[in-house]
Formats: sequence, structure tokens, C-alpha cells
Amino acid sequence: MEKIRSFIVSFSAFAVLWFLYFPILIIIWFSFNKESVSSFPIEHYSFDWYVKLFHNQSMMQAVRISFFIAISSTIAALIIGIPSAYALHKYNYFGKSLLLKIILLPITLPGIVTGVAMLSFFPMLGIPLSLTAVLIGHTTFLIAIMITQILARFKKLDPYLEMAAFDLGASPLQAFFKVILPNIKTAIIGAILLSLVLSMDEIPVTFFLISRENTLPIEIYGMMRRGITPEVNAVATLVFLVSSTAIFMSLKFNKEK
Amino acid sequence: MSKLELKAINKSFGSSHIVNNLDLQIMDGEFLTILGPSGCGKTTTLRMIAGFEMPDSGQVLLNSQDITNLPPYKRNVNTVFQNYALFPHLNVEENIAFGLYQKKMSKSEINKRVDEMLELVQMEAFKIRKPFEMSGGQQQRVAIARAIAPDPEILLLDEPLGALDLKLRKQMQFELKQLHKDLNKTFVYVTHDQEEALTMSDRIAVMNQGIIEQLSDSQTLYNHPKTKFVAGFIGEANLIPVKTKNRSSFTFEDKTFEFEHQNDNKEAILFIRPENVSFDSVTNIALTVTIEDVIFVGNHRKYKLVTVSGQKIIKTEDSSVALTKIIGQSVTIYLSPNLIQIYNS
Repeated sequence: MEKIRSFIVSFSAFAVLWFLYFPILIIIWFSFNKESVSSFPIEHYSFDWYVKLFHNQSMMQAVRISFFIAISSTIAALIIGIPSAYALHKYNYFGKSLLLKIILLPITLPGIVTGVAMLSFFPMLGIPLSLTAVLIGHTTFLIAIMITQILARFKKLDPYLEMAAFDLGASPLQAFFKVILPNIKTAIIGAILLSLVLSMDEIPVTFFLISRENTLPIEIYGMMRRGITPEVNAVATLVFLVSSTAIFMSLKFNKEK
Repeated sequence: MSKLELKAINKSFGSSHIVNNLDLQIMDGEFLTILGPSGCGKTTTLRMIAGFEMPDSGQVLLNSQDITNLPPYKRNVNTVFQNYALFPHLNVEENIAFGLYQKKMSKSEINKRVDEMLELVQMEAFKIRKPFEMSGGQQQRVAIARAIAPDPEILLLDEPLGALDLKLRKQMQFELKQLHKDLNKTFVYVTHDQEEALTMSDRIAVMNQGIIEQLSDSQTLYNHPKTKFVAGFIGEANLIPVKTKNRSSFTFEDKTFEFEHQNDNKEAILFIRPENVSFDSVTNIALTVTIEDVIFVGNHRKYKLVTVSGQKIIKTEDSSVALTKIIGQSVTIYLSPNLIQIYNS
């Protein structure tokens, strides 16, 4: 009985995973198809589409833009996120729990709502639809990621460590850099990797804030409208590889104590 | 001259008054223990000496200098924390060197001092271990070494043995006492464990509800507790409700005994240690009791006695004394006037 039950559970789990990931496996498979029509059976395998991809100027430009946006919004989120998480952890002040909820809003709200809201708000501030707007848009939700990830680690950190540092003559700044930072390092690395991936994959907010220059997901979306080419399969395969590696590493770092 | 002086210290958290107008003078080189139940304000007091908490009012003087508002990193006092609080990312050597780097000592001086400290706590073999690779007792030694290394004016110890098992705790008590002797430093020790306090301290300050009830050496504290709280908190005690009409007598179960005391209330509490209750006719303060039970507890035996009105009294005696009484027997006990105290109830 016990065996049957555990079989049913693992069978359904695998069925769900298969349903989710099978399309991705198919795409990876097709990306090596020499023919331009995605259909079975595949007669000749090749790297042609990867070669073509690297010669596609607008695609390469989109990759560069995506990297630029991902890296700079992650850095901005890091600069704002670490001190914010520290303050949220350390001090109790009026409206703290409300503040925490507001910070988390960009990840709980549908991206389309944030996107539309920023679309109408940014021009009022004099920020035109541009990569700058996209960068600010990405930073807002990455801050939420940074704060939640780092705050979780702060909560696990022994509060006496900081006291011990003060006790031994370290000023608050020295205590932060010499004792706190080394002990939350892995959480920060994890949050950085997660942020990079989320920014690289982001569509809804970007869609509303972009002007002429496209990020990678928007560029792929554009290509799809002209029909699925095996080039899309190739780029999807690369994005899948990079993202899953980053997510895997991020999980590993966040698990560490 | 006192090393450290606390003057009229008050500290509240929200509506609870944790430390109440506290005065305390700690002498140079003494081992002073602040003893009390949890929530009595002892840890808060220690934290105000360390600088982790600022008093609402009052002064903290170190070598007669006002340090009340100095942050912890500007005070030359170091703390051994209950949970050790060793830096997990640093090894033993780096942990001990932390405070020395902050003092901007040279690399060679630091190395020398670290080796000295490792030798002092007998942890030479653990120099490059990380905290998580060591047992609780080993971590505690490193924590002690780390706190002593910068040569603080005062070493503060916040229930440092609380997390250790009984055997190790006894051994560490002995070692700490020895360390205190060797270093000739002022130790301020906080604990709720009376035995720990009695064995190690030069003086003990018994704290309750934010005030120091009594400050004296172990023997005085045990033999002449000043308040009902101290009498009940330290060791075993018989606390018997009695009535008083004046300062020269007290009444228990319709019998009035002559005894000089300071209590002006009608209701009072008579204190006597179980080992001081005597079967021998040593005084005229005599009570008739029935033996309810006799329990053998290794080196002593314990009598559970009950008076006519039902008041329970415990008497202990050396088990080497021959047992001549039986359960149910009616006997007379004597309370020697110089071994009893009368407190306000």
C-alpha cells in the first residue's frame, strides 16, 4: 500500500515536470536541426542556427542591452537593497511593517500593472520612454528581491556577532564590513544571480517602458511574430542554459548558512 | 579606589522598570557576581557597563571617568557572551586577533599576544579551527581568550557557562577562578546559578526586580541574608510566618518568644537554615513538631517536620550522626537566636 502510494506521488510529480519541461527539451532539440522547418524526424544535426544567431546584428545588440540593463539594475538594487535590509532588520520604527509590504508590492503586483503605472508616471517626471526608464523599472522590482533575500539571512544571523564586534572595538561601519558582510556574503551572491536572471527574462514592465532599443526577450518576442525560426530555438536554448545555471547557483548560495 | 562605579542608574523598557536607582561599586581586581532570577535586571546592568544599553538616568564611572554615554567600541571593557558569539567566518586565531587589530597593534605583537592567549586557555592545538569545528566548551575558551586579548580594564561575563553541561561547567568554574587569580583583573560575572556565584565570587550582588537586595561575600550572604528574597533565593531555607507585637519578641502558634529584631509590622517571616534547626536544647526558642518523613540524601539526612498548625519545617543533619528518631514521633526542635532572622513579610 505504502509502495503504491509513493509510486503514485512520484509518478504525478514526474508527469507535471515532464509537462512543464518537455517543450523546452523539444526547443533545445530543434535548435540543432539543420532544416529551417521545425518538424520531425530531424535528418541532419548542425550548429548552423547558433552561427547565424551570432551574426544577427539586432539580436546581438539586444543581448548587449539586456546584459547592460540586468547588470546596472542589479547594481542599483544592491546599493539600495543592502542598507535597506539592514535598517529593516535592525531598527523598529513606526510604519515598518507597512513599508515592508510596499517594498514587496512590485513582486506581488502583476508586472503589467507596474508597467502601465510607470508608463504614465515616468513622463510626468520628465523621464522619456527609454533604456533609462527600463533600468529604473527593473531596479524597483529587483530591490524587492534583494531586500527579501538579504533580510531572510539577517534574521538568521546571530545578533550577538555585531555586539561582539562593537565590544572588541569595531565602529558600526567596521563591524558591518568585517563581521556582518562576510556572514551574509552568500545571500548577496545568491540575490545577485537571481536578480540578473529576473531582469534578463523580464517582459511586462520592459514592454511598456521601452522605446526603440529592444532587450533580448522583447527582441525574441518580435521575431516570433514573424514566425518561429530555428534561430529562436537556438537563442531560447542559450537563455535556458544561462538562466538555469544562475538559478541553480543562486539556490546553492542561499542555502548556505 | 573603586574600579567601576554605577551611580543611581535607572533603565526602563517600555513600561517595565528594569533597573531601579542602582548603586554599585566594584573594586579593582575583584571577582564580583551579579546574581538573580531571570528578568531581575542583571543582564541589563552588565550591558550598561559594556555600553550596549544606555541608562535612562545615572552615571557609569570607569576609573572615576564618566563613560555613561560612550559607545561599546570606545570602552576598554570586553564581554564573554553566553552563546560565545565567535565570528563564524574567522578561525580561532583570527577571532582572538580581532580586538588586537582594532587596537592597531603591529602584526608581530598581535601574533605574540594571540599565542599567549591560546596558551592561557590551553587551546594551542586549535589555532586554525573554525568555531563550528569545536565543541561548546572549546568555543567558550576561545571566547574568553578573545575577550581577554585586548587587555580590558574589566572583563564582563554574561552567564558564560550557561550552555555547558554540568561536569564541564564545574571544571570551567574552577578554571575561571584560577584565571582571575592569574590575571589579577576585575571580573564582573552575571549568573542566575547561585552555586556558581557562591564558589567563584569575592562578592555577590543579589539582584531582584531592578534593585540590589544584598551585596556581600558568599559566607555573609549565606549565613546572614538581609532580606526575605535573599534568604529564599540562596540555598535552602525555612521561611516561617510569625506575628510580632514589638521589636523584642515574636509569636508562633500562641507561644511568644523573646527575640530582638527590626520588624515593625504585625506579620513577619522567620528565617532559619535547615542545618541550623537543632534537636539539642540550645535555646529557649523551642517548638513541638511531628516527624513526617526522614529522607537519606547521601552525606546528610533530611527531616520533614510539621508543627501543630501544619507549618512545615525542614531539618537536615549529617548522616554520620546516629538516627534515633522515627517517623510519626513527636519531638522538640530548638532555633538558636543567632542563627535566625526576622523579615517583613
